[in-house]
Amino acid sequence: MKTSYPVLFGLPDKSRRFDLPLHTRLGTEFLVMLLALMTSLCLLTAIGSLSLGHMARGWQSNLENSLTIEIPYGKDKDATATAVMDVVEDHPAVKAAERMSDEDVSALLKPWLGSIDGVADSLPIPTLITIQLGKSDPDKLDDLKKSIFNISDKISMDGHEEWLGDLRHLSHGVQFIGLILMLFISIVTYFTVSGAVRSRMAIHQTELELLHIMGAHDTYIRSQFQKYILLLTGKGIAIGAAATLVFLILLYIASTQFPATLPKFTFHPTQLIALPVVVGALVLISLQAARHTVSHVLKEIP
Amino acid sequence: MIKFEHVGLRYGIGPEVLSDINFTLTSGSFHFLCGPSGAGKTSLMSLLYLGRKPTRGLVTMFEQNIGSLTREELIPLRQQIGVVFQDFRLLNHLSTFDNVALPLRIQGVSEKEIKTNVTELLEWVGLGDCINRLPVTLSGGQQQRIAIARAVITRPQLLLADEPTGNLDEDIGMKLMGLFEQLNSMGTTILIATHSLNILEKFPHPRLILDKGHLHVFEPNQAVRSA
Repeated sequence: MKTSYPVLFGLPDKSRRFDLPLHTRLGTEFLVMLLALMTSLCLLTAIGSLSLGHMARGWQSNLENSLTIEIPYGKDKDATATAVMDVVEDHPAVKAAERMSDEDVSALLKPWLGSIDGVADSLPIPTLITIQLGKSDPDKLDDLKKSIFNISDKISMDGHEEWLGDLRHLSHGVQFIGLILMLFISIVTYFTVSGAVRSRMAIHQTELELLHIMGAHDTYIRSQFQKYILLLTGKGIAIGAAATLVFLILLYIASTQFPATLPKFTFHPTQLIALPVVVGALVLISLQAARHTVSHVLKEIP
Repeated sequence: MIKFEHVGLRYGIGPEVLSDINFTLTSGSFHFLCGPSGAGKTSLMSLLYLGRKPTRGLVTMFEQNIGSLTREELIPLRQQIGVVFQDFRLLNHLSTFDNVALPLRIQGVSEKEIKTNVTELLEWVGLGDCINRLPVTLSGGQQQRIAIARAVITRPQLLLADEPTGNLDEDIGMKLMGLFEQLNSMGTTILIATHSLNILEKFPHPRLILDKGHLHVFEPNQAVRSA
């Protein structure tokens, strides 16, 4: 008797597709939904991890190539600043240098001091020079630092090493956790597919033995199950990928609508590459799970 | 063609269901396998269609010692054996055509050749008008003929049939026996397990008689030799 069910979760009733009655539903919707969930989780983890890495690398490159020189408040503040500017402007390690005006410094302090006129002028505010460095060259950088300290030993320089170190740790830590999560999801996917194949083989043991008695090679029987798993996982993975894509589009729209609440969300090429890579990896894992399980079970038949 | 020497079979650690079985089947012969229920006919059949390996003794089939062959090496031997089961074991989701075509597809025969051979064979067994029907829509006799067609489509050297007429009325049973006779006349070695005294009386072929796991050979025409 033919059963009617939504094709979305099962396989279309093209009986000739399989020698074994693998087109029958028998709980395939759970496998499809589980694979959709795994795919979605894996994609979100991969994209989240890549996004964070990408953002951290952006911050890192901004900070890595910059240096802030702080000249303390004093009578010779302007003279020292002029001398420093003379050194840095001609130095080969420096790409660009800018002395921050008192207005710029006041603007930096505005969140703490408020917008009352003249407040900044009455405070012993240091002079700040921001430097954009050229290509990384430790020797030239050391030479630059020496030249600046020769002008005055009261000058301080901030290369943001502390921030950079923390940022690197955070970025690597999150990416490592992402990788562990993806590995965990892959293992769960493997065992889920393996369990589904094992159940199907137990259900159709009589038919399996029949094929075996007829002289079917293990590869022939295996190909039946691989085709079956490919169709089901294909469906589950497609549903999961589509759901993730919809989620990301909604997230993008939300990030443009609520910029104060959500960070700006942009697609980077590496994130787009992650989609087919993760999908392909899950399909391969599923096929390998089916292949190994069928081979293992068939070996128990003499 | 087939030689059993001191063959025994037991399941797990249970008692032997077949003990010291000795017989030889020559190529192109026709035999009946008889015996009461529980005598071990199905177990002996499973050894013959290479569904199991004996727990002791020597089985030689197609000039090869079965015990020394690997799983992969047994496959080509299985492809030379056709089996008709008492319960037919048809795949109910496949049409009559696809059920009969299955052994050919397993052997990698081209679809063109399959179409020609299967159509011709189904005509021969009288099912030419049921090609696209599912087995469940056919009678017991028709299903049995599909099972026979499936067993012989690859022109096996050995055809094993386990109670092929057990579920059928006498007329259809006799027609099926006629089919087996025709196959035998074309050179196929045939072994049929049966209870039917009627068939045994009408077809005077040699008999292998199983009783409580032991085999006795009744050989009116010397086709079967006790080893």
